[in-house]
Amino acid sequence: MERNVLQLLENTAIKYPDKTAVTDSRESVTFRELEYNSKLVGSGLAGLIGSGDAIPVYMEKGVKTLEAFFGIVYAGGCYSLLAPIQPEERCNSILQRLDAPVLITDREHLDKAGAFTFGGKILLIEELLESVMEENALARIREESIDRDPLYINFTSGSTGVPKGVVVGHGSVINFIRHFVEIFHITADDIIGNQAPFDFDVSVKDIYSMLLTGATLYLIPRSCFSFAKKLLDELEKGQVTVMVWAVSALCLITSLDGFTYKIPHSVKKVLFSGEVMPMKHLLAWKSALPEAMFVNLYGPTEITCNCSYYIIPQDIGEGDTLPIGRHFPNVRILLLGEGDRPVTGTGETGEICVGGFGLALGYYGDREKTDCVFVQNPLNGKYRDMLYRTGDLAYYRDDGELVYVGRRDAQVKHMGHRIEMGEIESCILQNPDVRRVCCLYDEERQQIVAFYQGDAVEKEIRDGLKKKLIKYMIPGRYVQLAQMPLNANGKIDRKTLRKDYIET
Amino acid sequence: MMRDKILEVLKAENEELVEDLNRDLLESGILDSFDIVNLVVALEEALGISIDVEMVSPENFQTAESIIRMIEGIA
Repeated sequence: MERNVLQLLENTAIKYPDKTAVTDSRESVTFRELEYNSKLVGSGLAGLIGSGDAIPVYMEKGVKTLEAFFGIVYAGGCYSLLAPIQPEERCNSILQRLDAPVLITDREHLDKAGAFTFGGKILLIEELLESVMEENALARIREESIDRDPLYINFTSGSTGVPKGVVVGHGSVINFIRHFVEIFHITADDIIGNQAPFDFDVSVKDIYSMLLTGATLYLIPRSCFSFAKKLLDELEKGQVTVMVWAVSALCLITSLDGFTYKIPHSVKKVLFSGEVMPMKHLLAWKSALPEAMFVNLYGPTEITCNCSYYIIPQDIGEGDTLPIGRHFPNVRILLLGEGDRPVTGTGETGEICVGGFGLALGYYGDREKTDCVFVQNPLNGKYRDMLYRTGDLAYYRDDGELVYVGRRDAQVKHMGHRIEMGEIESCILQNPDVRRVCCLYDEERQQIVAFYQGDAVEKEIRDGLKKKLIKYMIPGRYVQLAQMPLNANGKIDRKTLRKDYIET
Repeated sequence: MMRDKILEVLKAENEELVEDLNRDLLESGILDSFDIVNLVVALEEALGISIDVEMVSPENFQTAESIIRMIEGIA
């Protein structure tokens, strides 16, 4: 098996040199061009970055962003997308953690990148693409690479207020993507309509399915994801056959009765993940595309994309539960109950723990957090056997399919994004006029609610958060309390808050 | 009358929507991705109207004024 994803790119470039690899709203590249341009970027970076350095890329998703990613890999580093929708303070916090020698951006974002508190060098992708090719230098770097080298770092919400970077290696991605394209029959004839931002690991499936199979990756601009009509027009324009989308993006079309406007007949496969798909929306999609394959995917970014899948049967109906299914062949799933006892019977709930090739390498620069959740299998005292504790709860159905139940902590899924309430709470507490705070998620209204004690006014808190958090993390409702309810241990009583203010 | 009702719904959804009725809500990022769907659903429920998918366009959701104009056109 390949030990570096660049082998996937090069093999496909030999097989399909003139086939379109990626298209965005401005440009398209063939596989040959994608390889060549990535090597140019790699040549420009060689010598500037060290082996294993994590290099931030501050750009919107696009053809050039992928050339930056693969260029970094050619130069021996790993990439981390720093999404421009994030406020400056959050970018600075990620940059501080990465401590990279260079940052790559484009002309459009140069001014904003220049304002970061970043001590390294800022390089323009447009200039890197004009580098002199250094094939020999790149070949030398490649010889030293192994499949456990980091490939990318995705930052997710961290409970202590600082985003945590999940480091994923080449081998995990190659291993996962091989199973992924085989199980769902993705081939060079497919056109993958990308929804996910590149700092969201759903995009890893799009990018590496393209690289492995020779399928075309059609990037749908972020601005379309507010308008169902535009999305349906894009699916038609790109003649998209495969969609690997977040649940909320699929629901955007059905919430507005989008299929009354247009049905995207070219679509043959719809795979979704990120949160629980409401049955009403799934049935609307299925009735618009009765011949298509629908798949529910499950898995946190720490196990490389997904660890389980459920191919939805034709006869699923209102009132049925939607399982998260069975494990991918590259991983195994254990359910651990109270006292780490294995749960094997049906109906009993346990924590989903995942082992196998898909495991991430850990959290970047954070050994303590890594050791908390990447743990030795408690059922194996004989040899090293690591598991990732997801914090997600599930049970086995009678037919052996896993059914997701919920979280065992304060992490929520909001609009497809994984958010730690602790990150929002610690940002709110930076306001000197807030004494206590507690954030809860209102599932019904799909809204984060911030309860706080102190003299601060809502606008003040909201304005403060805008500088620190991505928009989807900012609470939609604020409740000022004279006294925060506390439980017998003196901790904030979340149950009472939920009962009194959310469930009423 | 209708205008007041629309403003009320917008304000309940997010106060920033009505702070300046001519501010570009898309450019400023006040209305982002899924906010628009939530807003459409809120307007439909509160006003008892149906907003066709083809009317949910960048032009109609650019400012609070353009949202009001669109709804006054269908209500």
